[in-house]
Amino acid sequence: MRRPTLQLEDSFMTSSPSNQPESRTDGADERLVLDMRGIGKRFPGVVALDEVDFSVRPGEVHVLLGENGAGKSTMIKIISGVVEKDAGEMVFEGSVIERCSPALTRELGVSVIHQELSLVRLMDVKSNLFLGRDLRRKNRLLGGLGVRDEAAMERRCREIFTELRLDIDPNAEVLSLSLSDMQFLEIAKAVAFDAKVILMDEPTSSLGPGEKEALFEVIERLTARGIGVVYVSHTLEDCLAIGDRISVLRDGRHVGTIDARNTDIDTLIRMMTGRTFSERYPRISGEVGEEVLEVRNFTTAGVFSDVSFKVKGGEILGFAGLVGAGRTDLFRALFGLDRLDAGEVFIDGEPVRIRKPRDAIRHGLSFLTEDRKNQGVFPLLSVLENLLITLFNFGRESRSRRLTRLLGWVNGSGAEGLSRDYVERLSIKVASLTDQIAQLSGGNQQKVLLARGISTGARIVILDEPTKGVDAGAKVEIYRILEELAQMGVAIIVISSELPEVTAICSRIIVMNEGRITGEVLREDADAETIMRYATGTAA
Amino acid sequence: MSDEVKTEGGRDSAAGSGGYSIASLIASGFSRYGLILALVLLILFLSVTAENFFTVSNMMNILLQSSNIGIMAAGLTLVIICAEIDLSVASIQSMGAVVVALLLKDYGVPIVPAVLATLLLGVALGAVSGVFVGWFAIPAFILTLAMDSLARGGALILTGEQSIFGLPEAFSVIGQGYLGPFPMAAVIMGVVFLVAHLILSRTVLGTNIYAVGGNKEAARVAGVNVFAVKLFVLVFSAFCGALAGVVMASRLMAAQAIMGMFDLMDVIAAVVIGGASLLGGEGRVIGTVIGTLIIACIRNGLNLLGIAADWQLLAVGAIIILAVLLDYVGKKRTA
Repeated sequence: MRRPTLQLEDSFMTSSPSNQPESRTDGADERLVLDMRGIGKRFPGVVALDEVDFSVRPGEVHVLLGENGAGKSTMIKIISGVVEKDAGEMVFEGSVIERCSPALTRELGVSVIHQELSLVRLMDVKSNLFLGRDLRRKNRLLGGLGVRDEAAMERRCREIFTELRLDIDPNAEVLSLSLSDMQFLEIAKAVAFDAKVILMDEPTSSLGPGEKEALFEVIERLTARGIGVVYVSHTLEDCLAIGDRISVLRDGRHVGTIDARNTDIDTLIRMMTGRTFSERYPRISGEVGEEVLEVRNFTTAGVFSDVSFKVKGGEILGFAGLVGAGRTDLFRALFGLDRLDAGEVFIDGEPVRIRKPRDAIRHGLSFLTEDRKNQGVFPLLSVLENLLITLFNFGRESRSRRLTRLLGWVNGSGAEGLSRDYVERLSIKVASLTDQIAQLSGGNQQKVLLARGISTGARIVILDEPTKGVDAGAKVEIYRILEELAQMGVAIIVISSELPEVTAICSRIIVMNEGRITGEVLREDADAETIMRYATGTAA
Repeated sequence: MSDEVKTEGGRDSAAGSGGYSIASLIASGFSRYGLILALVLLILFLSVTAENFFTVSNMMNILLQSSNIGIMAAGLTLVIICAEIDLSVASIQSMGAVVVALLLKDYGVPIVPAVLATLLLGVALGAVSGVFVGWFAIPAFILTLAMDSLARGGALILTGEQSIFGLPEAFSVIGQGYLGPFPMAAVIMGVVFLVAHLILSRTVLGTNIYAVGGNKEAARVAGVNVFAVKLFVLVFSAFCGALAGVVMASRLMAAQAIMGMFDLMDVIAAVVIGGASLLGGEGRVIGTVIGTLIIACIRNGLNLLGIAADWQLLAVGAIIILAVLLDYVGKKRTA
């Protein structure tokens, strides 16, 4: 396992100089902003990191790649000072850092753009940019009293935005910004803090394809300023597109660091997983049966309007579009989670009214939300409780399946038996059913939620970004589960911003833009370009 | 897996990696065995310092004195796990005491229907809070604060600010009777604790309470009737308040609108010391049982040591701060 690693590194060493763009001076190449050598970190029972080397040059994008649990997050946490390393050496701009803390690393010039954005939503943009270090009035007295220099802050804010070519109003409330603008604001904040290294953890996870391009442009401007970017993502295409170097971790070990220009997706997958994936996105097919669900003229003012579609049993229908196209809102409304101004729902041709999630579940719907952490799992509850909670709450069904008795008394053996069945069927990796679900990996948590969704015998399963934050291995397993469901005649709707996913697993794809359906394509005719044209509303 | 390790695992991992402070060590020990240890140390300390503390009769006395606090704390535990709060229990207790006394004395209602009517009143008051909090999404903090005022005011008006004496002799069995060696009031407290424990640990309702408290939005998506869960916990809490009122009226064979004025503090202290998180989603009845006993021992011990009631109040306040601090340090370290 060690040998190919060395070879990969060797090939990088020998091949990279010739591939360096001419604009990059040799001197800059030698100078590392951040140099980490032999980094080790162990938790009881697990070696999170073992002898990992990682470095960042000024002005490069260094991609950190690995499956969930490979040690990326631990690495990021060590760089940002949240977690302390057990072994190894960390050198920042030539000086050895002994003890790290988040405050110290920020002071040194390391900024982290988190998956969960850390903005104060009720404050305006410029205040967020200077959060904790407001510019004060020049006047001694006023400055001493802590009076903010609004004008200077706005000016500085505009300077940074101009440099990064961002179109954000410094006086707008953060609340009113789009998700991608919030992310850009986070990045601008790092620039305002004079960051030398910016860590980006899954920065594209909540962005649509168009917004992703914008992010990449911003990243290029950062590197032009000489800022080193550490980029963590599961989307390999992105890593290849934006990265200069790619380091791969597997099981806490450093598999290798390679030049992004000299590699391809298959090599990366092999490095990440240690095995070959002939099909990362397996084609899924099933027998399409009778029509199960019809949605007619769904409208909620300002969110989506006049949306109608049908789904058949055994069909996998994809919903593509940019973030903010109204897809999530549409299905939240269908599921009774959000308000609906007008529209009708037919199940098996019969009109039904869905006012709350319980109605939806009763009518055979199941909804896997995009936000697993806030709208999916109960982190402190056990795997069993997380899996069965929906079923538990439908008393008659639950009693007939011997999960509960009178007054909601839980039948321990029945509940354990059923959850064990699901754990085996969906091959969920869990030590004990009584473990807290927070201890599982993202992929396994998602499978538990999927099991919860289908436990009620749902005939229409809606999945919103089902493989977000899930590693490549678990992804394929989730696709297989969907395939099995489809073969059982379940109608499946997948909302996804990952185009290869949609085109591979969905037999039909509906594209939305600004709350309207702008196109529908069959898998045979689906290509990224067509879908993007519909998604951006530029189709002829 | 390593970067996914959280909660329990996270606790272990931090401990295993070395380099933690003494405060956090105390906190982690405290969160596991500390409660029982604290109770044992407290009892040892008081046994040495206060004469007559460690005697069977005083122990039974502690149980008796703690009964109304314990009954209310059992109810509040469910509310707090559900990430809500009930600031009205102590006033509902007074209301309960006053109403049962008035029914018995002024209206000549027989004991059983009088008690049942009082408990029903508690349920009704809880239902009002529950509907406002659960359905109209009014913060429980404000609503139950208002309910506290309503119940206290109602009790004052009903009694004309007078004490009610001369309750029928048979009524005293609830608060003064014994079942074997145990005071009847303590037995009632035990039953309420047991019921609360069984609800939380053995029923779907219990899972729902943890689920709503831990992640309300996820609970809604999962098909939990969030309104019903909130309604239940607030009704149960108010029911416990009314029951505590009946027990207190019977123990003292009298009722007054201002009695138990400061009980709310002890009730919240018992639950928080017991480890229930004010953020919701976490907590166990057994913790509250121990929390109740700790508070009762402190009260009783301070009495035996001849320390005045105002200083006792101070002591309870300090103890709550300590408990919350330990909880906070413990959590911060695992985060």
